[in-house]
Amino acid sequence: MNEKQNDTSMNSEWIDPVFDSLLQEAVTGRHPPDLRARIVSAWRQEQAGRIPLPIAPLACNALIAPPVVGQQPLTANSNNSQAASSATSGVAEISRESQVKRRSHAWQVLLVIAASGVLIACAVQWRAAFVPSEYTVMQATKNDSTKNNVPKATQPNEVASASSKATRKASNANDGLKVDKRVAVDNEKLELENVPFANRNSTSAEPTRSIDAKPTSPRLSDQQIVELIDTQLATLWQRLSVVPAARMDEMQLIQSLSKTLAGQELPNAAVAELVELKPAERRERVIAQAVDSQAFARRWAGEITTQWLRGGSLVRGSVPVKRLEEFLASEIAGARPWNEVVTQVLAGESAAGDVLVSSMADGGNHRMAARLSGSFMDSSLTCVRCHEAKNPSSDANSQDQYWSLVALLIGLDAGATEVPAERSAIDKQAELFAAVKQPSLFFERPDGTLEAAKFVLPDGKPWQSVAGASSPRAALASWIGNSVQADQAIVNQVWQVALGRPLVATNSVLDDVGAAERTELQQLLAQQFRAHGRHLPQLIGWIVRSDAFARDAISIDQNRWLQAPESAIENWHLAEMTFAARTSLGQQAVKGGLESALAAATKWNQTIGSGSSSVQSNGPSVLAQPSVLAQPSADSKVKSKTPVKADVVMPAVGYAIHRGRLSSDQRTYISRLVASEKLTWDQKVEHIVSLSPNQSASSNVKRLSGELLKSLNDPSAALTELLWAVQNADAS
Amino acid sequence: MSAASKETSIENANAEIDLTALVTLHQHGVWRYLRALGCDASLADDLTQDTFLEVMRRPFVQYNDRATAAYLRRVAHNFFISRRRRDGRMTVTEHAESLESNWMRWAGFDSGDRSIEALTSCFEHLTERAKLALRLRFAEDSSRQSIAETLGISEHGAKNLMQRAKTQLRECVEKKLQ
Repeated sequence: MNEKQNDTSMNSEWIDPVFDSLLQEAVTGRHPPDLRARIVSAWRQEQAGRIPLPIAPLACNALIAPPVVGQQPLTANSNNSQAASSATSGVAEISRESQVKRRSHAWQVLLVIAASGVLIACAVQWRAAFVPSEYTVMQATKNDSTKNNVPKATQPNEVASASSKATRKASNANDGLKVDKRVAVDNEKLELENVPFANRNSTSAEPTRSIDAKPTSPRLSDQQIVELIDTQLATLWQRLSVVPAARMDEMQLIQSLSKTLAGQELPNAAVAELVELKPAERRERVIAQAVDSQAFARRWAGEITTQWLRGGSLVRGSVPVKRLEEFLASEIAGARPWNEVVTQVLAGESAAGDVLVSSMADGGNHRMAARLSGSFMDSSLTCVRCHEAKNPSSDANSQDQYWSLVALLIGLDAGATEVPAERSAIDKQAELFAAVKQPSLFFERPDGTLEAAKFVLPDGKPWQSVAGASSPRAALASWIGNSVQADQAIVNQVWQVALGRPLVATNSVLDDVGAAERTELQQLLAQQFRAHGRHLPQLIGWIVRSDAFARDAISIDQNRWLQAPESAIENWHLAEMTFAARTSLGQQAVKGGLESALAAATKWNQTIGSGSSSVQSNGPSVLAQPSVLAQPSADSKVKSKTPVKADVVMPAVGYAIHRGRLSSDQRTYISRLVASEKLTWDQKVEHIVSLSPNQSASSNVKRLSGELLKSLNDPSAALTELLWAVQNADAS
Repeated sequence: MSAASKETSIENANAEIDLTALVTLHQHGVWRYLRALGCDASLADDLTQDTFLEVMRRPFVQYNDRATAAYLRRVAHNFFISRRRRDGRMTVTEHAESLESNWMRWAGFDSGDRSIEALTSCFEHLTERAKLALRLRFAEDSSRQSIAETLGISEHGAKNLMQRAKTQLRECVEKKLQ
């Protein structure tokens, strides 16, 4: 069957392994066997301890026992496939035993082979143990590197079925025989990167992985897509053992829908009309009415504008921004495909586009590249401005690609207009590139060598390759508008508006809880967005119909948090991070920007006095003391905490819950920064701040970070606080 | 239910899970998913078993059937990749990005039972030559050259015939599933 699936020439236009396998089942009549008895029996045996755990690591130790005979098969519909499987299956003793009688001769042959395998395996292992040749060292290194490349999603496999291994004797014998062969094939690069979305931030130097280049995705129905979102998130909750928050009650949900979609709650009269309907009909009615309204287009135009202008010089409410909002509102209301809107805006083919560029270009081309990548390319490129990506899970973009992007922005700037406080886009590309001598741009490699940036698109093609593009800007706009990255970016932006946080962070160091599932979901939604003609209202509709949207916020106060066990706090943290609960505990933006967030973190740490070690989020903390003093708790542990002044500024509960819960990637990143002798403290601060495309390390940010370091006297703790601030600050 | 009691329920969840019911409900879906990944029937049997056992060993809460099915598919997928790695073979996941979408399309709601039923019915409406070609291909694993010789047509003609038949089947099944 594999051969058939790989025979693309047979089916060069339409490859669908699911359909093919179902067709094969229909044609051959070979339906799934009933494995109930076999599985239940295996489980019982494992529970009864008949199969020891863990398994001895050496194949030669597990091979000797002969097959068990004499039991009758319990499987109701065991078929030939089961017979074949018994040689390799783990715990299928029952079915295997039933077949041994019939195949005793075959077993003898197999045993001879197995015994040979044992001898060879043992000989190889003995050689590895006592004769550590260059060959075996090389093998170990390769195996290690292969293991390190395994995406997180495959980690459960590391705990492969132990009981299966225990009884997979014949199979192990074959493994023994395969030792040399396996070493040989280790030289081949396994296609693990192709596991669906397991490594969005691959270290591969190919940043423009185009899903469009792969077989066309099937166009699912709206209902199927909503199911897809729900199952994907439920799978994530399942894997992390997250207990989701309760669903909102029906009235709360329809008000939330109305507010999210149209920016306003439903009046009482409208609610009264809905009461008569069934819940599902009620929700659909609210969605349909909202999407058809002008308020919907205005609301989403405003929200998307805000996201596009994050960190820029223009503020919402100003005349130019209103111009951009009006343009987007008319495009959304007209159901124009989103790629065309993005292309037009970035190419500056309208006054609204000039507004965007004038905001993004303010501060130089590097700021523009950062904003462009964050808002339209679903990635953070700031790290690779100076060096190749070092973090294994950081975004995969090389220094060359970053500088090519900057090169394509040459000639774009923002300048003051005659009207004070207004700035307009300046585009000198036409004259620059019309000159006999084209502009050039050089950048410095980490080793000090100078390199000329190439005027190529992110996929490495020259900008002139885009048909009809008169300038690099126009070519880049067209490329971005029609790219997979732009689709993923809008999925993220819509998700953020609807659920409070982006589905996937632009840099994995910022947020990598459940990254595999979330990235997969983002790409599936982007696929469907494309398949449905990039219709923005439809994308919004899928997300607000999801189960995650209907989840309520976790309602806790400081007393509840104080008395909660660590497992509950961890669950609250994970629930918010995985959209099992509506964001409310502190993941939403801290108003006032990065400086305010840093100031708050500094103040709270100074209030605590004893530094970060006392607030490691491991159970009750002095952070909640004032409310405890006001309402004495019966919990003796709580009472024993050191009292603090009554006038302390209480931090958000979310701060205490989310703070300090770093992922391994984040820990690695911070420890690497701390350990760096080349970087000054300010440069370390810049590194953390640059993780977010919407923040910049201003002199105030550096000063506040310095105060934090002084207060905590621990660079690692101070950078952890800074990371929290970068994660949670808004972009004002 | 309070958060604490919910957590306790998670810890005890596995003890309460009826494995037989779980397997009964999901075994066909997992097995078919593994077959779609590229497992032969015997390997699909093994990995289906491994999947259920692995899930039983871990904290497990059944939110709903679809979530459980998706979780089982993910575990099965992981086992498949792991097996391929162990065997030192290239994985057949080149187009895995669209696999989940395709799965939802054809088998997302009932493990594929309706699609199989529809396929069986639609298959009967194909021409005899198309039926023969697909039977040779899928049931007897014949090469395209062999199919072409049997039907007395060119290899390219055999390819087109099967391609058209599959397209016809797909459209027919889609109509029936609507």
